Amino acid sequence: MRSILALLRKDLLNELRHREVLSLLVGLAILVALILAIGINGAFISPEAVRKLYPALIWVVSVLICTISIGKSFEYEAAGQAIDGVLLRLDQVWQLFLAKVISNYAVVAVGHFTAMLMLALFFDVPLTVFSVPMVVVALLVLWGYAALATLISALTVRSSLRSMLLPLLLLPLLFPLLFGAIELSSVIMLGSSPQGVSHWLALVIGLDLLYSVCGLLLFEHAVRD
Amino acid sequence: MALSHSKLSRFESIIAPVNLALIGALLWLVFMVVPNERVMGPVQRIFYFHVGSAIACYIACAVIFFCGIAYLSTRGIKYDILTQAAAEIGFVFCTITLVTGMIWGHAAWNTWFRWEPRLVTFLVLWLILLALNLLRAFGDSTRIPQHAAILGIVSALTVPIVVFSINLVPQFTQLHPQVIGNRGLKDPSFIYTMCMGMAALALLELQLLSLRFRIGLLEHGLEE
Amino acid sequence: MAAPLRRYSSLLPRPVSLLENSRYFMSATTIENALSARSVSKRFRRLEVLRELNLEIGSGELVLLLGANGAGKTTLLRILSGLARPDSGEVQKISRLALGYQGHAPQAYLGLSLLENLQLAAALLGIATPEKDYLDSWELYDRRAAALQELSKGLQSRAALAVTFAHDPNCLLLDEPSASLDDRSVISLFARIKQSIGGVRGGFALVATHDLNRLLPFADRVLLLESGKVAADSKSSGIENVVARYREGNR
Repeated sequence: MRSILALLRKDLLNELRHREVLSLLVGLAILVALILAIGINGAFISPEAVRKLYPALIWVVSVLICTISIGKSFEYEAAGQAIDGVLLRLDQVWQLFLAKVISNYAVVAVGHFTAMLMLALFFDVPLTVFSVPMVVVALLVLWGYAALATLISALTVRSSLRSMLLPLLLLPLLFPLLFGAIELSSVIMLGSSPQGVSHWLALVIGLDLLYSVCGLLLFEHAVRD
Repeated sequence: MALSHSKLSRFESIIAPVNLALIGALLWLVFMVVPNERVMGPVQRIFYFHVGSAIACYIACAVIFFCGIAYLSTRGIKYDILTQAAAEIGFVFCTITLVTGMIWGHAAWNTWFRWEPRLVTFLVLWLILLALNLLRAFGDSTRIPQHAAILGIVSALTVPIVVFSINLVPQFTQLHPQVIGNRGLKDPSFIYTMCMGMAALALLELQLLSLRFRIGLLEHGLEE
Repeated sequence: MAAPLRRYSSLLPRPVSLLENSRYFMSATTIENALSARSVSKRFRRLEVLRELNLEIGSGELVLLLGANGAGKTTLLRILSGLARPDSGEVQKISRLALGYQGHAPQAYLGLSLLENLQLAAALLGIATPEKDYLDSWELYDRRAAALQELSKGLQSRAALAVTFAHDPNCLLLDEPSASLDDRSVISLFARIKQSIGGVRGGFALVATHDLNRLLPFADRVLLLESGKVAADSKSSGIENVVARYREGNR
């Protein structure tokens, strides 16, 4: 427990010092939302149609910007082989995984809610979109996303393609989670076809569990020979 | 695993004529025996290759999954070589499945791509297999075996979930021809041609896997 | 009492649980003071880096490991520390509280300060953070709050070593530690090493290096790594012979 807290503190300090990940995240959220807004508004689509697009847009934007940022955050570990220092001293490697997932979860949540805010502003969507069910769904989905992204980013840290490889590996695996997120968000926001909600919820929760378990078991093999 | 270079080349020399015979039989069945399908005409014949490739692709995914777990448990490098072979060959068969599916789709719906479950599933599968190969090419070169095994395991677990979730999405119109069951396959020759397609292409895949595995053994200096 | 040997075998693959956890989980009563490795092999594709290497280091020995570039010194040290895994052979497990490993890279967070890295290291090991006295002994007390990346290369090396030695390890595996250090720092480092491995507790130090001129005076024993094996050992042939052979190979 003490180890996990120490690792979280380390991640927090790193971010406060470098301020790279969060600024990248917030900057991208605003930029991408702006580009989408200009593009879509320019096509003279009615506001109601745009509001129907909103659940899908928010998740697409969120996944894109968070993938880029998580790749960046793992670079702190690779620089100077800091992760070797942790592995030499850490009792159980799953503690490192858990700490990393929690840190990434915080980052991803910031990114997602910033993107939600920006898109709501630019697309004239009422801020009631931040309702409790929407937030709960987002928090659920983001955990699975953080767990999977943490595991996969451990694989791409020392690649020659660096930040380009992570989206290529991560995004195909995210399809089920993404479908679940968009469907659930659509149902909540637009009130469309509530049948099947339980299926999607079960899918999202199942994926959260699957990626967490996979990560806990496999992370050690990713970071250590 | 007692797979060695010499044993496999003997295996291949036995399999190869069987393979040739099966593929010959398949081609004969597809082009000579099977009658034209009522609705679509001659283009429908591509279906037999499409289904066989799909099966081969699933077999590759299974191999990747089990070999990934085997490698992480035992660290035997041969499992990694087999995973690599399966990833490459699975990718090829997935491409064939997609392309034949799109050709068939174009003949049926006059559009190259449509949002229906099976095509989207295979598109995602194609991206996943591409990712596996990209990791091998561009990943951390000192740890590729472990990393490829991890990605393989996670990918293989994701595949059935993708299939399941795509079938849940209400927007995807059920356009995929319900071949087995209600409408199609009236003539029994359709059925055994389809089975022949699956058997021939699966065996072809096995041969290719064996060949690629042997090449991998040579690359690692493990010829015995 | 020797700690159990970790066995790696490629002939009879032994299933290792996916939850295989750290090699560093050992109780304090079994801290080793000697090192043993048998038949260690490692290859990268077609290149055999280590070939059935055998190694025995006794308690209290400060051993220099010599070898040409690419001879496998770094690989060997990484395997002995537990960071890398050999293809086959047996390696003595060193508990994390006893082990002090320093590789080429700092193994610390460059964006954080020395103090923060020490706090992290101490928290992970479950010990108290070293105080002012410890930092003074490295002459780093004034620079304790500066980010590691802002320090000069030499200071950074010293800081990295300070983190490595924070938990007072007695089983030391050091990969070219003197590379960026000035003479004064080298002397104080090796005095510290001698102190760590000597005494009642015992211990050993295996130092890979090219810096013979400065480090040879400290060595109790010299090993030469060549063709994936320990080609020469000063225990049998004497230090001068091993050094001569190393210099031969370098010409």
